[in-house]
Amino acid sequence: MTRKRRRKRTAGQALAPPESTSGETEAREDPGAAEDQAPPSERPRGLWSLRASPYPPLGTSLARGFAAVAGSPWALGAVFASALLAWIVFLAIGGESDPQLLMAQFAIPPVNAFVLDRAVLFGAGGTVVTLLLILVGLGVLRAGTLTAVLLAIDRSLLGPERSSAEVAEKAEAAQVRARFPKVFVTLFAVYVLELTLAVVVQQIVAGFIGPLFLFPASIIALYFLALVPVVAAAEGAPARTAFSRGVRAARLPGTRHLTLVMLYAVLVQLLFVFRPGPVVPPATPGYLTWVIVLLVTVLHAGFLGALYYRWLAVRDEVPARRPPASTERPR
Amino acid sequence: MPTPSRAVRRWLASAILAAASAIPASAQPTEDPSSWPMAGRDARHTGAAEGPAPPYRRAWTARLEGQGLLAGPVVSAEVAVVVGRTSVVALDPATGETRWEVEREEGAAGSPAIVGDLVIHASGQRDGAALVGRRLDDGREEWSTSTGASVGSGIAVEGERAYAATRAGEVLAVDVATGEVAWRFDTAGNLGTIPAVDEGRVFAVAQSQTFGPASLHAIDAETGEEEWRFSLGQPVRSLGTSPAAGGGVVVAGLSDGRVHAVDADTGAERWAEDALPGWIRQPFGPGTVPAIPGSLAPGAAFVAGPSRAVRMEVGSGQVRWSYQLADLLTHLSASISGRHLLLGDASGLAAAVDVGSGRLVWKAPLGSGPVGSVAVTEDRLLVIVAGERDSSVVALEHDPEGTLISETSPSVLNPAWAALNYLGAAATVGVALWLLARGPEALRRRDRP
Repeated sequence: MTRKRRRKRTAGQALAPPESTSGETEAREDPGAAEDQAPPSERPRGLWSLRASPYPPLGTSLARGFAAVAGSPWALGAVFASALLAWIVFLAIGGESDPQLLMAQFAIPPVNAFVLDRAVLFGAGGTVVTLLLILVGLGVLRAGTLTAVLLAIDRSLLGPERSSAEVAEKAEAAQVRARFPKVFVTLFAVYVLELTLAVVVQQIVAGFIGPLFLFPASIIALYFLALVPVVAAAEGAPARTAFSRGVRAARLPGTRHLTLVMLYAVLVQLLFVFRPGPVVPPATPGYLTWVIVLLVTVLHAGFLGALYYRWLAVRDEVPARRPPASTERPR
Repeated sequence: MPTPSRAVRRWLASAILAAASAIPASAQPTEDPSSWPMAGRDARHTGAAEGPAPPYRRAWTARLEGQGLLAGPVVSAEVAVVVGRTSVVALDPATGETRWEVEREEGAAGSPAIVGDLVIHASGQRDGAALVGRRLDDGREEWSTSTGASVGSGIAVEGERAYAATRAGEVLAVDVATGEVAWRFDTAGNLGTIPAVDEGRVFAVAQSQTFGPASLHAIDAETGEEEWRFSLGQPVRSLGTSPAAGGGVVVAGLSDGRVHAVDADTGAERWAEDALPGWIRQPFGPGTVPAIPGSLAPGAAFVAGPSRAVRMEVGSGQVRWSYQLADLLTHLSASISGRHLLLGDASGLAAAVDVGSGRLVWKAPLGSGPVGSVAVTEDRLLVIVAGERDSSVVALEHDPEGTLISETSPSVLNPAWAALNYLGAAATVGVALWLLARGPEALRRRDRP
């Protein structure tokens, strides 16, 4: 197992980009060494590869991710605004201001589409036009808040590096504003595709296997699609490229990506068991209810930050285009 | 001023009955003010009687061991009847003492019905299910009629006939004197609701066996022939409710999760409204019985679901107010005592809401288990309170020394408090997280010389 030299850092210092693990690999007998020498396109992927995972360890990823969110006023502001906007939208379309809905509204895509928005669409009912309007509204809400949070995380993780290059604060903010529309459009398209997938899976899974399989289905989708919005925001990539690179990144060797996804799945499952406040929630959420909702929303954002941090560590191993397969094996 | 004796009250009730028999049935608000003979008060499901006003105090409690959740109560002038898991029990409405108790075949226990000197209840299950008529004075069986499938909802009585719906989707009309089946109507659905009867028609809501779309049927009460049917297609979001009839309309919650009003003569839809929320849980419960009280609340219909109860305008479907408690509502058959709608929830809390203002004026815990059905008589409310294994019948009376309260429903949004709560929480969480992330470094910088 690769051992990383720990950098001494205090909480206020800049979050430097994650170090590549390849430069610090100690000499050892590595059953996957031969695989390391192969071009990236030929390296075996997936959970069963002998090669060590290129992702940073779980603890490091989560720490960097949460610090990127908690230490950034922009990220926190975007996270808090997403909770408030979701509540307003739910009330506007005739729903209940249920704490469990609010706690799930910022779940990492596509979990929010599978678990929450699909139920919202079916629960709202109405004509086709009404449903389309709700779909567009949810898409705008999701894409807008996710874009804001991801760009804020990006700024938090990479901003100090840019600052060290003497990029002015205002210029940096201008860069974020310039990137916002493109990332927003991509994430809107990603959301529509994921919600469509969620509805199709529900019709098939719930119809033939049973509704209990919906949550496991969302976790399987999360494993493959968790990095898609991160890629879209970090690279400014269109939806097709974001899906391609995101899925390939999920299939990088090792089990670290699976571990992060399963940890997140367990926490989300626990959230659905926990309900703050009365059994029938009041229309006016109380102070404590909001505290819990906001903390849970930060939890979702922290995992998103961990994914972002991991993407920055492995982005070079997942090029935009697959290089043509070489016919010669390395000696 | 001394209150009239029981004999005088019975005489007055008889006189009222004689006078009322000359008035068309649809205009009669009540028959006997001391009786609540079936679920929903009468076959139309008016759900209202001139009962005691809040505040209330406990008059007596009768605990019935080993009977599970009780069905009923139904009340005549002299006896109150409840149906348990294995017994039918008659109580004295004045004292709660047991008058008689007889065994019944274990099975679904829908609300019984009192007609004349008989009480009719369901017994057994599946192929062994039956309707049984018993004498009200001693509980002896007068007749028993096989129904072919469980009757789990309740029984409506109008005139000389009792009407019940079976799980197999049949509506039965049974002669109350002999138990003979007058007719059977097959809805091709699954009936877990109580039929309503008004102006010579029987109304029943059926839903297909696989939780499919619901349909509302109007059946000729004399012949059993279907007059019209109002059906819905997809999507299915809810169980249907029992119907309530009055003023030429039939009101019922159907499988799309909305409350519908249908013209009683033609079956044409008058309106449909999303009156109850349905995102988190179904808008209607399996025991939802709407009420159209008539003269006690003119132009109003009341519907209760697990989340809240609402008052709607019968003419337009507009929701005038809604009320919710902290826990799920479990008393879903709307009961009105005078000018107050009675609510009960899963925590054992009973409450009274003013039908005009929609504000809660009284509440009190009655037990640790869910509150079931409520029967309203002239001077008492009889309330079922369920326990894990045993249930109780609690009698409430007016408390002249009690005080009324005035509480707005938690279902009403308070924008100012919502904003304050949110801003306070955001400030708390934001500062706490910032301190965790940046605080130590900021302190070190400050302390550096």
